[in-house]
Amino acid sequence: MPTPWNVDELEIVGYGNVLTNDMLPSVVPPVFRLRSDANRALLPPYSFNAGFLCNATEVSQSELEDLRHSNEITLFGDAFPARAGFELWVDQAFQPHYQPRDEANRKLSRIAAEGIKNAGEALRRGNLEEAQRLSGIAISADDKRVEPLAIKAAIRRVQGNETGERLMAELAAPVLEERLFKLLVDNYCRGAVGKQPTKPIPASSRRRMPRRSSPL
Amino acid sequence: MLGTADSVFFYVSPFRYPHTGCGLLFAHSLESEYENDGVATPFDSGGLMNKFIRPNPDEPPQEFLSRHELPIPEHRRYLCQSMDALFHTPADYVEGSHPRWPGPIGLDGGDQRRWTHEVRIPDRVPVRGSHLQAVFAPKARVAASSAVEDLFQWCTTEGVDRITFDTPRGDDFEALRRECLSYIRRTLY
Repeated sequence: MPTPWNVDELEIVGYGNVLTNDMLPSVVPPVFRLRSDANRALLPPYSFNAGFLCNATEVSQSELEDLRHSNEITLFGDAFPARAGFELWVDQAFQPHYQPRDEANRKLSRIAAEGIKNAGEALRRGNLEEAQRLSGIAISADDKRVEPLAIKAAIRRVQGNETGERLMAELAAPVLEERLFKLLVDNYCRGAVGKQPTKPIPASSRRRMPRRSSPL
Repeated sequence: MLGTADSVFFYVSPFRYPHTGCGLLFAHSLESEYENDGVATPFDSGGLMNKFIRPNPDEPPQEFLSRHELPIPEHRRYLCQSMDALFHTPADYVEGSHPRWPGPIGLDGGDQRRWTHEVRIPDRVPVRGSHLQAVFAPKARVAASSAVEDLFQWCTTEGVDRITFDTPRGDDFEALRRECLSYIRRTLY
């Protein structure tokens, strides 16, 4: 069983992910390092328990560099102290923020709300590409919100992409029943239809292959 | 250094590589299609580089690797016997629990990838094929990334299972691992 580490004795040197534009903003799991020994770093996955970091994987500084070079983690130029109850997240400009969890959640909720509002407006203007980009920001900021999925579903409907619309309904299903989700999509579509010519994707154009049964 | 750089790597297990948030689960039928050029080892070959301790440190990793290569899909006979003989229950292998007995390979150190079977197939393996059993991705990735959404749409039309999940605190791998185990328990147990 790996040693639990007191978070107050750690510093943050990066995060265990490499982000692209369409993943932002995003909460990220920090890569920690012992304040007392710069050659001992701690990687996700891990868990927190009462201010302690548990079950992290310990690696050396050279292994960290290897992981950075193979594009598996991101390292910051400067380390900063870790704090229990804080959240690390990266904004749309790739800038990291380290804040108390409530504060980070409030900020991300605001970004999601703004993204939803702007995506809805872009959809009404018929700018589907912008609506899609903004709904992506909203869902990345807060994956509990269902509106970005409804906006994406509306975009797919306007494009005549039934499979895409159905996929968004599938993503929303755990939090909103299908009938209500459809009403929400109808509502978003109301201002958008007619502005974008649609070209349905015929199901017959997709190649079907026989399925095989069990995994592993 | 191991001579495996141009291969596609598979774990014969739930997802075990910790720096990832999305996963592809293939049916075992994939191995039969590549039986002429694919190969298996009863451990993660990458772990031979600085992670696992070999019984004879003087033996170069590449030699150790080639000594333990097994044909596919026949390596599964060895895997079945290992699951029965080395683990408290065969499900322990799937769940990632430590084996009761170390087994004959003689490796030490590292994590559960030390006893996880690996299949390597040279060059490339098409994702959108009949062997794809299930795809796993965070919900936000499916909704925000055109490439991931496109794959999930293809899976919808082809009847491939689609597993999406929330990733609280950005710990994508932990959520991915949990969802994959849950899927396998539902499908196999």
